[in-house]
Amino acid sequence: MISKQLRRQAWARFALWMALYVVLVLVVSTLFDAGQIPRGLLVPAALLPMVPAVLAAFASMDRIRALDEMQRKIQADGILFSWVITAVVTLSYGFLEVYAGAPRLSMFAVWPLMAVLWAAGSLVAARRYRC
Amino acid sequence: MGCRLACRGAPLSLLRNTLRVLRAERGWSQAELAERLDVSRQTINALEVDKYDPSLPLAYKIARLFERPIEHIFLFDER
Repeated sequence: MISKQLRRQAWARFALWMALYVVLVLVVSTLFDAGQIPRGLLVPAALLPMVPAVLAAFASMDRIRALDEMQRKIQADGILFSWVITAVVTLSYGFLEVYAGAPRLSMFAVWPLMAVLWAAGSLVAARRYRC
Repeated sequence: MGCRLACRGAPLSLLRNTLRVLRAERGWSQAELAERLDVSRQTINALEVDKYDPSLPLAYKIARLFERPIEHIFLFDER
């Protein structure tokens, strides 16, 4: 079936770009730790792993587009849940940081939070369509 | 129908359908029907237990597959 093939291809591309992302993160962090990045290249070197990450994100979007209509609805519900709760959590924590002395958190914390909430939201949404 | 009666919670869809009966008449499994319609088995299950209303294109696809008019397969729930 066409959509099955598209999903498989999107998964393969996603896996490929994620593998490259992991490799680049390891290489770039090793080079940074060794102090081998010239000063003029700090920004492009720091952002280098984001090239495959962006391509992986597009592959992930293609995978969702290749899902059937109900599965897309489930994913949309999951993403909506994740978007709303992430907004509430990050804004709340921002206020706590500014006014209540909560420790500073890295921006790296946002995506894992969103991903976990997306998965949880999708699982809950999927249950609604089950007998 | 048995599963529909045993299903937890109220149906989510506004339509009732005869998909399970039509599928049984042809001796197809949910997976086989899903393959023919290019959707997931979960979607077939959700349709059969009235948890999901198909889009118009999918409803037409189902009607064409079973060679029935759309209104013979999907009935609006007047409740």
